[in-house]
Amino acid sequence: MNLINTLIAGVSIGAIYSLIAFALILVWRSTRVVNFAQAGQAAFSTYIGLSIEKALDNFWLALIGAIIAGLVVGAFVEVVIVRFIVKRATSAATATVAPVIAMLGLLGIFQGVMGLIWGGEYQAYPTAFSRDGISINGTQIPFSQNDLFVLLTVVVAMSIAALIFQKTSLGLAMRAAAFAPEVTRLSGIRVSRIRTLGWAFAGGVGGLAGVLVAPTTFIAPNSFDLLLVFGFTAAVIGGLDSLIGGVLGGLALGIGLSVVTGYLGGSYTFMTAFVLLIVVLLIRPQGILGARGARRA
Amino acid sequence: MTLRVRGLTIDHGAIRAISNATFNVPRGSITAIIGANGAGKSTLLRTISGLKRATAGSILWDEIALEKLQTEQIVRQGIIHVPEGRSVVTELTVHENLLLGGLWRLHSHKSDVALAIEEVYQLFPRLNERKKQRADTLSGGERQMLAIGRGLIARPELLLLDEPSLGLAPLVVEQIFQTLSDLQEKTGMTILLVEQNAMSALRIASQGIVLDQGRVVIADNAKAIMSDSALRHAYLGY
Repeated sequence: MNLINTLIAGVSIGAIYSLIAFALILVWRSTRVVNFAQAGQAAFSTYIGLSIEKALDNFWLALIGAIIAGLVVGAFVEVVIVRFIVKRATSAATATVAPVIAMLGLLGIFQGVMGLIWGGEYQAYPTAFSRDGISINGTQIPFSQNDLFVLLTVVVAMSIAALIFQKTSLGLAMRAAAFAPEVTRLSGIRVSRIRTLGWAFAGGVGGLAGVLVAPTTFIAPNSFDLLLVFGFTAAVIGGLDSLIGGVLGGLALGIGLSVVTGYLGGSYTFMTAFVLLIVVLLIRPQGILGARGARRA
Repeated sequence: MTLRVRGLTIDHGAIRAISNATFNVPRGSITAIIGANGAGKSTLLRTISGLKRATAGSILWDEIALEKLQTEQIVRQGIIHVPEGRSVVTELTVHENLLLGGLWRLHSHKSDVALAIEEVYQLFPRLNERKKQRADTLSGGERQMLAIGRGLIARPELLLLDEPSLGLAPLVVEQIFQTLSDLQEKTGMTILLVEQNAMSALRIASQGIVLDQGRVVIADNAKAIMSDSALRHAYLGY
C-alpha cells in the first residue's frame, strides 16, 4: 500500500472523528463537562435512524431522524441531568470528578436501555452509496463513493456550524456564553437556554456522526465507544476549547492512524491513539493548535 | 425611576457581606458607593443585578421588586451592571463585545443598537480603531472602555459600575471618569458607581454612600463627605 493511498483512506474516518471532537468541544466549552455519554447518545440516535430506515426504507429520512433524535436527546440530557450535577458539584469536595463519573454512569445507562430496546447484537446499517473503492484509470483506490459522501457531509455540516457561530446572533451568544457566562448574562442573554442549545447541537452532530460511521462499524449499544476515544483524542489534540482545532485534530488523527494501520497493522491502531493522547497531554496540554494560554473561538 | 434599597442583608455563606442597608439612589445623577476593600461594595451591586440573592430586605426600582427577578429580566428593566475586572469577552472582537450588549434587543431595535454602537465609537474613538481586534489585545484602559461601552449599548436607565478605575493609570482613570460625567449629563441616566478610589468618584458624584464592614455609615451630599476631614480619616483613610 503506497503512502498516498494510506493518507486518502484516513480522511473519511478522520472526518467522523472531527464530528465527535466537535460535539465534545461544544459541550466542554459551554459546561466544562467531558461528555462521555456522547457515545451512548450517538448510538441511541443511530438506532432511531435504523428504526426509521427499517420502517420506511429511506436512508435520507433515517439520517434526518437520527439528527433530530440527537438534538432532542442532547437537550434532554442537559435539562434533566447535567444541569443539576453541575450545580451540585460546584460546592462539593468531589467537584472535579463528579461530572466525569456521572457522564460515565450515564453512558452505562444509555447502553443498558439500548440493549433492552434493540438487543445487544451487532446490526448492519445501510448506506446510500457504494462502499467499493473508486477506480481511477483502472486502479482501485481505498476511497469509495461512501467515503466521498461522508467527507462532503462533514464539510457541509462544519461549514453550516461555522456560519452559525461566526455570522448569527445565536452564534455570538453561544461563543460569549462559552467563554464569559457572567458577562453574557449581564448582557441580558439567557445563558442556561444557550447551554441547552449547545448540548442539543452537539447531540445532533453526534447523531450525524453515528449514521455516517455505522455502515463501517455496525451498530450495537457499545459500538461507538472506540469512536468516543478517538474523538476525545482529536479534541485534546485540538486544544479542547477550539472547534476548528478539534476538526483539524480529527482529520490529523484519522490520517495518522491510517498510516499506522497501513504500515504496522491494525493491532497498533488503538494503542497509538492512546500514546498520542498521553504525549499531547504531557508536551502540549493546551493542544497542538491551541495558542499558549489563550483560548480560541 | 428611583432605586430604593430597604433593609438589605446579604450573606456570603457564613459571612455577612451587607447588613441591613437602607439608602436611595436618586434618578438622573451619579451616586458613589465608597469604602475599603471588603466593605461589601461589589456584593451590593451583584445583588442589585440579580447575580446574587439577598438574605433579607428589598430592592425597589420604582414599584418593581428587583430581588425577585432574574438577571436577564433586570437587564430588561434598563438596569445594566458592568462588573469589576474590565469584564469583556476576551475571545470576541471589540465589535462583537459591543454587539453582545445589544443582542437581547436586536430583533426589536436593530437600528437603535447599530446607532448605540456608533455612539460608543464616538465616545471612545480608540475602540473604533480596534473594532476588529480581539478584546484580549487591548490595553487595560481600552478594555475598561469596552466593558462600559458594552453596558451602554443597552441604553441603560441605571448603570451599575464596579471599580472602573481598578489597576488603571491615573491619567486613564481621569479620562474615563470625565467621560462618565459628561455622558451622565448628556443622557440623564442614573449611575451607581462603586469605587475604592474615593476622591475620583466623589468628584463626579452628587451623592456619596460610605460602606464600612457591610454597613451604610454615611449617605450624604458628595461635597459634604469630601470636605469632612474627620469622616475622611475614619472611613476613607486620607
